[in-house]
Amino acid sequence: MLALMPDAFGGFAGIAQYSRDLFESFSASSRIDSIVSLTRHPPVSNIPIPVKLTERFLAGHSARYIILAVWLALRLRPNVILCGHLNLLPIATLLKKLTGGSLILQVHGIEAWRRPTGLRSWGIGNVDLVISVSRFTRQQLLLWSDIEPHRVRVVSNAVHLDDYSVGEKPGYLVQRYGVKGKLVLLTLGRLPGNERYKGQDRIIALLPKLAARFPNLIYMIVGDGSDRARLEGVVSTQGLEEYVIFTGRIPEEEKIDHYNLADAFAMPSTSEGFGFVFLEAAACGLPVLGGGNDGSRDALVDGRLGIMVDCDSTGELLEGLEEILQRKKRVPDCLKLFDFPRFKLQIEQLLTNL
Amino acid sequence: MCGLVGVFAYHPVAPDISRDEVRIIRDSMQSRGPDGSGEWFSADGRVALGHRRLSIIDLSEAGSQPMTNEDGTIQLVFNGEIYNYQALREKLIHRGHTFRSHSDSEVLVHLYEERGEEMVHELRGMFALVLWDSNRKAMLLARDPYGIKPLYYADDGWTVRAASQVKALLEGSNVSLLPEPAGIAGFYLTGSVPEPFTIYQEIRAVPAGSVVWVNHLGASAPKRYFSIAQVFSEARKGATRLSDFELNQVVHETLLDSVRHHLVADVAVSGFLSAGVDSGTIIALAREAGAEHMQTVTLAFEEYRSTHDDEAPLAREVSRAYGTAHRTRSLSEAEFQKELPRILSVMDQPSIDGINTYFISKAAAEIGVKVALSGLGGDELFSGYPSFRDIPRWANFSRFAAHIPTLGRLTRAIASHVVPRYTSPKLAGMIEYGGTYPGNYLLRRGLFMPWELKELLGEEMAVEGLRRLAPLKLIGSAMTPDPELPYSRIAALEASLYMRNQLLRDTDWASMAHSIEVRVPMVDTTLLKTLAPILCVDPSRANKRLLAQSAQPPLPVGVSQRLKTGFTLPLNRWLERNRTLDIWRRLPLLSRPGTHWARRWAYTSVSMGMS
Repeated sequence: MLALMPDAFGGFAGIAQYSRDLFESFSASSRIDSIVSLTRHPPVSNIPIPVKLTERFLAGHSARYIILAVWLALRLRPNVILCGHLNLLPIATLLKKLTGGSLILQVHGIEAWRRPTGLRSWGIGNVDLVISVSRFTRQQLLLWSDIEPHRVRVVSNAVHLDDYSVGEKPGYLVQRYGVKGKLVLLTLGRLPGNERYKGQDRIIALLPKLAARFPNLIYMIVGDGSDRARLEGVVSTQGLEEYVIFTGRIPEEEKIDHYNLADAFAMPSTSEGFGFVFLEAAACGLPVLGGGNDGSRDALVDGRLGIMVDCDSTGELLEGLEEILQRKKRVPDCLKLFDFPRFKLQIEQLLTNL
Repeated sequence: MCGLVGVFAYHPVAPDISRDEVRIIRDSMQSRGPDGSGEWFSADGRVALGHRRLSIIDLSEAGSQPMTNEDGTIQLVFNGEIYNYQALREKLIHRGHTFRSHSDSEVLVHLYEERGEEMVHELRGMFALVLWDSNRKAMLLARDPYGIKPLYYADDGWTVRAASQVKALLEGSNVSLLPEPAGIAGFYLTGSVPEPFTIYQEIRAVPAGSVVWVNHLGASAPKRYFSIAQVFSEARKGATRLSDFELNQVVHETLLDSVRHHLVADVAVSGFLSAGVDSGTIIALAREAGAEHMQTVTLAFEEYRSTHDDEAPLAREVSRAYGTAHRTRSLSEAEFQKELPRILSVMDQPSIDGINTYFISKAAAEIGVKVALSGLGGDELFSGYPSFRDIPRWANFSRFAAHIPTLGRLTRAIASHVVPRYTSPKLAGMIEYGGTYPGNYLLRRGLFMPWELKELLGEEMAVEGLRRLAPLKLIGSAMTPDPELPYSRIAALEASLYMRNQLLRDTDWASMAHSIEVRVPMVDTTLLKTLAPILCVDPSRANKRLLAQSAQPPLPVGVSQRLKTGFTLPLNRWLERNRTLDIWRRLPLLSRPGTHWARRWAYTSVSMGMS
């Protein structure tokens, strides 16, 4: 297998985690002898790399990436080409045409929801299998592409349950943020200025009403990005500084502690490809809330893993937030549906049918 | 004839199936099966089947569905009739199968045990079925060769839902309402939604003559097991030229055999009767095959009284000739108006036709008819449409001009602004589309032309719809493999496109709205396979006169010599003078004098809430 993968072992977000799980599953399959992956991010040192995988890290100019990909394809003659991002599809299609291998495309979120401009959608008709992270992304892809529905399969993000635990509020974080005795509502995610879809604004707008009901409430926004300044401005304008904490980006090793610091997790997002953070939060026992009009629906298992609301309905969102702030911490049974062995099995089944 | 539902939550994360959802989908098809209902849920909650029954064969409780095999490993829901079920039953008993009923559905279960999906090759009849094979942990969706019975499915990536009707799937509230531009564009191009598309992106038709497996990965690609074009393609190799006497004899015997099979029922079989050759011949053959106490029904309109379009007098003559109990049912504009909301609600997908069948089925139901024979299919086999003559001629005529690059587009671009003011907009596309059979077919059967869609749908939807639909490719697939002979090509195109997407689909929803099973003896694979080799070799004799000669005693002269009119309603007049139906006036495209009523009706019916 030759993989064109932007990121797998170089990051910790949901998409990188998904890619790692894919490689681990392919590596475990008797159908795959070896995997060579061309990636743009160097691996983080403490993440183990699957036995059959060789990563070729290549930053810099696209032309070099293409030349190396073609050279590898001609030298290795892969049976399977894995394309990790829609932007790389034209190159992956070229490799398929050169080698005759099967082409697998992996799609996550927003990049696959609209027809890409220019050459980037070239080759979609040549894809043998699309692995989509959610039903929503699958549906959106099918809307603009002419690919037959049976070629697009949903494999949800997996959660490695052993990596998470329900714990007491970590003292060092309670002290760092000064939240002793506080009821902490958490949102964890990037704050990209150009997209603004994660829904922090919606929660901030409801804070006066929530604070009236829960006077010890703190809304903790974990993550960083170019939209942070704007959000801080909104908080300041509305005089809500005492209820909101912006933590900025946190080290990966503190992530689970932050979940444990919280009492509930909410991300009323409208453009999630899946929403891996819902699984992480639920794995730490947090009651969760998300939107029902995007990929979050899958992570929330149609409302079984957490509360699913129409993000555009203020009343519904307020009611949902009040509900999760009152619920007790508990890991939901349906979280097991996302365990890694199931993910691995699905990938094996897809390989068998390729 | 029934309504069925099948649900399979195949993805590991998919929630267990909601029993309420299955029942809502099933019971929304109440009129398809008023005689009873049944359901089956797997112990793990991942598979469900539901059924509404219209009892025709084995009226007892033993014939209820879902039907299972001896050890419960196979579960089946089925809609339709298997006309050779008795012969199959005998064979299966001989092979050691135990039957609890005398129904055709139980035959299917045991036949599947013997042959797996290959069983479809042994079935003579009309069917749509959903079968759960617990050994294979997979669900089989299958549809008859011609596509007489409908079957739709929606795979959302976690769960597959299948049902007899598009609207039934939507009733369950878990199928997306996102529109399918290809289905909508296809409707305006042809007057019906071309399968496998529907007007909803997530819902697809199981293509006629195909099976679809659903396993732990979801719905697989449809696997075609029958193609009309293939039959005509092979027919050429085995073509046999017969004398007039032999030809008449073979056609008569083959038709009689088909009609005889279509009379199998435990209730009385009646007939729809027009003034045409097709229905008259079917009634004659049914009587010859021994059908007793037949009732026949004809629709009449005040507007047509004493005109060539009035079918009532000739239909009465046919009835007298073959000794049926006849009813002429008059339909007024007032009744049409009153029924219109219900018509639009039971019309499963947009269509410019079917209202006539709706009312004749209503008339039949009023006198207690449960099963009716129809002459549908005669035009496709016996060259009843002008397309058999026109398309080969046009294709030949425009062949050379079509080879000049961009000439067609250029001519159309200029002509489409001028031509429609004086005559049919189709003329503007003669050079662009006229050089090939698919292009010509689009012109001949087209309701709106591709370049007109922008005005109806807006630029984005029209462009996207045409791109996804790829109409010429779709039409071309109906004559693949190429039957080569002009008659065979047109017969394959008409049967695979117009008859399947329009006539058969409309007959299904319109008759089912009144719990009437319509049987179509001239839409039969045995008939097709027998007649194709002898008709294709001598297309000049493949006409309605040949069909009429199968009626014994002969049809009344007025019928056998009557020019074709189709089975029409005075919709044009009603659309012109009725204020509630004049939505079409909003569009300049439809307001031009002389605009065909079907174009106005297409837009009006959709605007009035069909979709």
